[in-house]
Amino acid sequence: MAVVQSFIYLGQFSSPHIHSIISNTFGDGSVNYSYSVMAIVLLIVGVILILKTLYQVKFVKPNKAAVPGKKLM
Amino acid sequence: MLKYAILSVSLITVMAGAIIAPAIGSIAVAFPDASGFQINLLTSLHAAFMIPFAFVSGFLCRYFSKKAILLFSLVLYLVAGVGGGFAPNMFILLCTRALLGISVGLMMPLSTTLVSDNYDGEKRTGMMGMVSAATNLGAIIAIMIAGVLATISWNATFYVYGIGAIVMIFVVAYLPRKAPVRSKTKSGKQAAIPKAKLATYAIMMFLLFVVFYSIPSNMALYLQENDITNTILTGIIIAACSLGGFLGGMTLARFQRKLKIAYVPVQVMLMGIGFAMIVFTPSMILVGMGVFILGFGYGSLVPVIFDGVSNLASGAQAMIAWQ
Repeated sequence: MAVVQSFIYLGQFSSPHIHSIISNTFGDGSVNYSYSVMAIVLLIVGVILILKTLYQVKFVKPNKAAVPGKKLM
Repeated sequence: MLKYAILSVSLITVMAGAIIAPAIGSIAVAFPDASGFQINLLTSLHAAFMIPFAFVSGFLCRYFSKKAILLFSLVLYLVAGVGGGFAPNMFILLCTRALLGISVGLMMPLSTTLVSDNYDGEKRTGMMGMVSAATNLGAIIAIMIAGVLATISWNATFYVYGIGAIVMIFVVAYLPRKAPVRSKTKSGKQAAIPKAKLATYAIMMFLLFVVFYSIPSNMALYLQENDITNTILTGIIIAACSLGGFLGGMTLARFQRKLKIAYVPVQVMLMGIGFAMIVFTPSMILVGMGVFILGFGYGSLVPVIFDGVSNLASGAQAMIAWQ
């Protein structure tokens, strides 16, 4: 848990700087650009995960797929 | 009352650095010579100090009682937190943020180990959930107060760290002083934890916080870029994220039962929709709703990751790992 908690702090520390790099890479440095990139990336990842889940529900045996949180986490 | 003493500590931990978020715009104006990097450090520097001192906290537990460590870190929290408001320049201000990180780093692991020390079984699980909810609730209260104080001046925002004094009263009055446990981490042999899986969870947590933490750290600047300088409104919008996180944690069990394996994809999708509402809608109400939805997704995913980590370790290992 201590390891995972450390990554929370690491995420907190890195977040503003990573967003700053994204803003400067994709735009003029304004926050709007980093938020836009986040929106697009998360929507794409979300769609991929949902499609993967649908595939599992349709084609994978139920005893393998029906364990909440196990398969995808 | 022990429960309230433990929960009061949780109130002031995770979002300690982000409390001043509503005033970031005002601070940037007050220190015109400060670079963008320095302004970013205001809400992130503390986290860099929290990482090593979270481990130092576990080490100190072998030699000092948890109550003593908590009281020391609370004094440091008050001095560093409120002291930031009196900083004459950016360097001193950043030094107070570093000290704040040290205090929270010492404090945060204790808020969870105190639960493990005092509760068992279902009560422990329930208490962990309440700790998570208290963390978000603390963020809502503190950020809202900070938003109001920021209307007075940027300095006044730092007075919100005075909440630490109330927590100190609870800790002094209701937390029992127990002798330090020296042998716990040395004696027990740790069975192998699947490192690849642990690394996956750690990376997921890192990415989740990189995404989520952009709200408390950058939202004030984003609103300022869009000509919204009302710090109360900024505070409300940022607090909406914590409110979403609070509700996400509270409704976790119900939604997970209904959505089953689709739970995680849906929450990731919700975070994406939240960000999309923030950047692609003109209305501030929709921006606030977007922040709330994003917070809901975050608040739902964090306990899932922690649950996965708990499943990796046995009960005894978990106790050691928390130290």
